[in-house]
Amino acid sequence: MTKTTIDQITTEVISHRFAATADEMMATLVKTSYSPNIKERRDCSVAIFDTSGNMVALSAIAPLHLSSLLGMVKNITERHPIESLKPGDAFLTNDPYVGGGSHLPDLTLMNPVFVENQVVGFVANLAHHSDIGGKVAGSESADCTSIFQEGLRVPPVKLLNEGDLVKDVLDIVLLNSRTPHQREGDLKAQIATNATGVRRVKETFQNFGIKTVQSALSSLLDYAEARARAEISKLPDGEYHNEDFLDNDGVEDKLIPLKVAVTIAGDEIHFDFTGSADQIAGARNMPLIATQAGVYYVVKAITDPTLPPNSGYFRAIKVTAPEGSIFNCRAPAAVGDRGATGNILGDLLMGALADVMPERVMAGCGPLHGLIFSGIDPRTGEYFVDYETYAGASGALIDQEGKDAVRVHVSGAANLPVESVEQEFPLTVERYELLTDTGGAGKFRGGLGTRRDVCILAQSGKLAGRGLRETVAAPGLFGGAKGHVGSFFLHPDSNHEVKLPGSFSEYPVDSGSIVRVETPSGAGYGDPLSREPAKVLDDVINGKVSSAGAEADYGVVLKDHSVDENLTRELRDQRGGGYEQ
Amino acid sequence: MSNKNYVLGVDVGGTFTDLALVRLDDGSTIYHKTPSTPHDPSEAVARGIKELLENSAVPASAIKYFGHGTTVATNALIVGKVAKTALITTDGFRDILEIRRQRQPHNYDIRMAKPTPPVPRHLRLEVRERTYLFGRENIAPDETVISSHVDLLKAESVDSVAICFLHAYHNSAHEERIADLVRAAFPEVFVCASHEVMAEFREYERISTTVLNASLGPVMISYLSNLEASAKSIGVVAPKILQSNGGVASPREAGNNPVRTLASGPAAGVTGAAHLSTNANFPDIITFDVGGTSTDVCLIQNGEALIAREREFNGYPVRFPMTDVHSVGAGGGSIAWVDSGGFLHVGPRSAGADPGPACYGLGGDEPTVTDANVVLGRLRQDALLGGRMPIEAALARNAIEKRIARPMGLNIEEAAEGILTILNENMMQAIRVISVEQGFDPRNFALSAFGGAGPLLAARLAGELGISTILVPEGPGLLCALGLLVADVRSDFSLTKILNLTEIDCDTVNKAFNEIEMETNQWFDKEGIDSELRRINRAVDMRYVGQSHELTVQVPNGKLTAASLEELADSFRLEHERVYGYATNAPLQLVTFRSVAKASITSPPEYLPSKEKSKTEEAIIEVRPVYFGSTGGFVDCPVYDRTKLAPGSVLNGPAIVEQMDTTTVLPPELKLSCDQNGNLVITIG
Repeated sequence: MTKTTIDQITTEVISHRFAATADEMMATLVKTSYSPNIKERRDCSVAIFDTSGNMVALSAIAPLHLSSLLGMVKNITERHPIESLKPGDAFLTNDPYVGGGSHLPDLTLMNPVFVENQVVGFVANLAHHSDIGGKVAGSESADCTSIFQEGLRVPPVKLLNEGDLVKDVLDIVLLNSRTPHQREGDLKAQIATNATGVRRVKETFQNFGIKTVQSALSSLLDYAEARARAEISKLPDGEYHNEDFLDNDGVEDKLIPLKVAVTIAGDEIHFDFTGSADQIAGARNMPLIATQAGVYYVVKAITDPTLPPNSGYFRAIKVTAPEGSIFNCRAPAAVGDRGATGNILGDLLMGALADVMPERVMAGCGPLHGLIFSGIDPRTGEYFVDYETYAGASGALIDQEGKDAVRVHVSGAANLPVESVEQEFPLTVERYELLTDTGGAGKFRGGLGTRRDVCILAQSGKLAGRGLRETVAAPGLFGGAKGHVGSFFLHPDSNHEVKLPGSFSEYPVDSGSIVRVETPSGAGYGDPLSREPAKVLDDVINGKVSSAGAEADYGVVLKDHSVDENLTRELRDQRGGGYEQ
Repeated sequence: MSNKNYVLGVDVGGTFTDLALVRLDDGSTIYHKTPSTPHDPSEAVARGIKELLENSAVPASAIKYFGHGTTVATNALIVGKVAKTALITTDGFRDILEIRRQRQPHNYDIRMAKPTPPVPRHLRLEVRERTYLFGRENIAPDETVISSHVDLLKAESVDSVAICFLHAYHNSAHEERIADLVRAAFPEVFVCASHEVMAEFREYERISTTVLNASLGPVMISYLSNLEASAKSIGVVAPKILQSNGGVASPREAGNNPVRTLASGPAAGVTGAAHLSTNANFPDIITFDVGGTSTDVCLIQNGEALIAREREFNGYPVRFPMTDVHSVGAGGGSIAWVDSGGFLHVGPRSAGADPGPACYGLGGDEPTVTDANVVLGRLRQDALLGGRMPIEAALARNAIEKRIARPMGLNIEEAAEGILTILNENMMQAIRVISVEQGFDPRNFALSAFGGAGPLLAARLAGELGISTILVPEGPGLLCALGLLVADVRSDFSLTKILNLTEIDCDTVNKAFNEIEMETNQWFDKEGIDSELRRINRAVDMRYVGQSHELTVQVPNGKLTAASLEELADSFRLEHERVYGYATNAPLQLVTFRSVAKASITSPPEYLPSKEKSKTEEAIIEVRPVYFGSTGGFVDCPVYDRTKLAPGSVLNGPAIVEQMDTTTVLPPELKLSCDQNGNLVITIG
């Protein structure tokens, strides 16, 4: 009896070693990469797999990367049978349809790990490259209508052959990118990252023995599964539904319905997306693994945020979506902007579960808006691409305001410092601020969106933009108001101001033009008329709500920097809201 | 008047203020402890000094040097007792402080709130002004708004103002002008500008650092002026204040730059450990300081602690060079628990001092690391802390049996051993962060173990990491005092100027260093440091063009030549290879120029072993059964009194060495010797 549980301590020790290896790989990747996209924004992840392709350790900033690497071992070993692999081999891929990727800018590198002449596992890292070719600079545009427009498709191919760089493959990648110098630096960082991973995983196998580690990894998966199931068991059984919409399909102005049925039965939870739209013309389709990532994120967020990120916990969760639908698209559907749909998916699932777990979910969120600037940098005469994402805000909780200006749900990358943007690109940032009165009103207020004005000083400047919740605002919960919608503008506050659509690309701009991004905000939670007047006053003092907004949205009347109790009571009574909390 | 033969170190902690008076010619040390006075910590300092001088019959005039470590700024931040602070910043950018880097506080824990901004939105005021790096004309600051801004600040009774404009590291004139105007119109407030606090790029981090500095300035200045007044009335020399970088500064300097003391707490011990280990011929060490609730580790190369550039305090970043001490929430009081999936965890919750570990019998029924050590016989079975804390071993056994052994199907000793195994993994990870993740191989370092539980846990940790030598310095109290007494006067200067190496000549670089060294020498002048004592170390942060992460490269003093630039490039590539495992010949950029100003102003005491010591076997207190996993059970193990071990004594494991404030475990097959400096030196393999 004691024998097996002593092994459990060993299992835990081995689990610590793998987690430490993933952390060390992540540290290497972030530090050594070239492009701001990876270094500053940390749009990258690393993972370790067993020989069957189970993920046993993961380090990721963005939850969307939770499963981006899941299909990879299978896809690689289908093309390159495991017996044919050699120490020092490394495979590069990005394709969602044959490589197990989720969109083309995420170049993934995977190495087998050899101990005693046999493959004992794989290490992989994924980095979002800021340009991998295709019709738009930045390789990510919601209006692409086929994956062939989105950039270079790389099936699993060798980038390293027994430790030697396969220069032919590198050359193909570099020639297809608008910014080859950065690609080369980032790929070198990816190679160094896996070298670290291979070394450490090997050490662990050598220290403990192959059999012991393999058995530990299998217990580790069982452990995560057991914990996930224990959490799911606590949720009330039943079937729960919800519906939300994408503003458009990236090409045409029409609402795209998203539907989910969530079934909780004992320690199993099933997410079924039947009834959602067929795959769409534009690039907001999600490969099934991206849909799974969105689901895994929500389960972790509403049950136990410390669930260990491995394939074991995924076993307790079933995800189905009809093939050829927006949540399980087929080739050659474009997928570049799948993260945008992933964020709406977060709202869709939380909304579905709101009635049964009101204390765990958040109201609808304002997802990011992305801009890609490109053109010729007049300082160097060279082509540049700046890929940036601007945070919206999160929705309110049962007892907390939504967070202002944060990335939400599956996306997690940081912004670029203004002082970095202005050094590295021919751009200046003219404003960057919170938007008053945008947080969805509620007993608890949604987070505020942001405004950023950017002046482009490039020759032959081009813009691409993408953002959701420009038409369909983030939904509130239990009487909370919707969030505000986001927008792009050109030449703001001038007499030739132009409102740009929610997805556009190759939009030419003259040097000196200003583009404005206003990001969508979070929705409120609970009846705004039941919000404590003192909190409304505080928001007004801090300029998060205007005095007019206090009256219109919350029924709170202010006089001389304080709440006019009588007028407030009158106004709230008139509107039929409760004055009490 | 007696000659100045003493140095005084005073370290203020949350509960106690620790004092040490060291006689320079023989190293003899008198320790004193007095309860801290949180409402004004300088009271306890003054009282402690008076008591210590009286007890030791040393006149105040005999004190040559007074080194002082304080957590006044750190505590003020933690409890929120900071100055009411406003921010004046570039028009359109007042929300940078609140937008931060737009990340969620946690990817999955949606209930984790964003930290409260240190300046609320209505006190973040804007001035139309702008510095551009290219393409557009700079906009001079609009001075007309200052008077209305100042009126508002007065009406709001603000105590402190931070001024931070975009690109002020590149062009400080706008900040200087506005700072002058605010100081003139509102002389009562503390004013600091970002280019004075931290002249480096990345606006969010710079604003945050400047704002925190402003919020602490009035607190620190008031504390230090009380302290100086007390020191003067007692008749001791003015104190030097320990900073996070491991150096000391004058009260004037520390008052103006309180953020530079925020991480000074663990810096004293690290500085002391570095000094002792270097004297013992181990200049490359990893410090391992295990307290009740946390463990601090730090890597020291060539006698110098590694320096971190940034750390968060209360969720907000402070960018300034500081001793790179990495902390994990695991220590002697950490609680062991089993999760819903049946896995064992240790920490981060701690039993603290009350109720404390189960064996204290104060009502704690959750097993801690201390309880595991009691069960395994590694700690005394009847009392801890030199007999001052009576314990009941049976309570430790009960807690481990009930909460760990039974749920996991282990016997009590296996469960206790399991607790130490998991703890060991947490600590290994802490050491990996400061070593392998920074490109250092821990096997090339000795481990310096201190704190209440460091020497208890060091042997196993070192063994797992492949470290072959462990040093156990005489006592934690000594280390902190020593750290305060051997620290150099130090300040760090930096200046961001982004230059492509291919586009510049050595004159440009010489000019940048001249500029920063002018500032450095002005500082030396203000601090009153004799010119022959002044040392300046130059460095520059470099990166490949297109990277946004820099590496620091040392730069020789004196006039640089074209050949020196070549050497810089080579040094960078070597460092890149060392840290990241590869280097290329891609074009390089210089990013931030640095200068570290140092001066040794006090001589460390001569260490003389204080008293005659007995023969090794006479130091044995008892023989008790101690559990070692490697031997599969309990073995009879001699327990030694450290105070009776003479230099040159050698012990063979298994053995236990006890002293009032810690216990050293020597597992079977390891060897321990007592060196001439009072260290225990354990050799593995």
